[in-house]
Amino acid sequence: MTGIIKVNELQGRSTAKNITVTVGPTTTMPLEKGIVKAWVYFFTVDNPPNPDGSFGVSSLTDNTQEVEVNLTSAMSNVYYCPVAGGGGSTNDPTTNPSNRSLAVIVMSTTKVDSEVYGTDNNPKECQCHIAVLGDLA
Amino acid sequence: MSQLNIDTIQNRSGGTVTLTKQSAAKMYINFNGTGTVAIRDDLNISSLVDLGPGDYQLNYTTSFLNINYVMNYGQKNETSGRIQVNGGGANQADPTTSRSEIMAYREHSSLAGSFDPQFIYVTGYGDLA
Repeated sequence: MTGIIKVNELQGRSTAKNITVTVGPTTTMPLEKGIVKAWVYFFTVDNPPNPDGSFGVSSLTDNTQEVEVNLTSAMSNVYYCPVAGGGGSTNDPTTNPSNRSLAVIVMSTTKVDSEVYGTDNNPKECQCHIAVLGDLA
Repeated sequence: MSQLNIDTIQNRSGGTVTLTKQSAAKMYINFNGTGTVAIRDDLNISSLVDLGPGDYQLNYTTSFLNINYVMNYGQKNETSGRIQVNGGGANQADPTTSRSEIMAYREHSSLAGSFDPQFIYVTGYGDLA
């Protein structure tokens, strides 16, 4: 017996999204809380911007030196947690990182806005990596 | 129908569950760093402490197993300049299993320095104790 359950879908018995998992010797957490709800990789030079890799993202919108990330499923409120990192200045994930500041902000339950600046305080091009955590609606 | 309805999952010994090729976040926080700091939403945060301009301490409800966990940061730029948020500099304490310090500063030709932004996002990944 290997202790593995092979199943295609898990649901909470009482409430579909509520499954408690043990994440430490005795610590438990709600499974749905820690799962990343969306992630996307894109390069700001692409016109229009498009996701090179993504999950839970329906589209990207070019918004004048900003790129809006549209989420496939709405979050439960506007207090969720997007995080971002900037990479190289060319669309090659293996290149060395450049000095970029990638900022993100929650715009709505279905949209995160992002913008990239360089050390000269001007908008720059950059590989963008964004992940979204929080509760889905 | 391959669907399992269940409330709690443990491994066979009653311990930590392995999610095949996945690792869930063990901590996240969205907070307002201006004035009296305010948490908008969080996971596994017991308290947020304002240590001074652009300097914050996150205290975890459940500690991480060791100090090798990973953190990501996000922030919104302000109209007065670009904002950077990271794990701190020489003046910030190193992370421990139960807390971490973060620093925010504004990049601007004449207004550069530690700064309290409106929107800061932090996530943490690793094993809990």
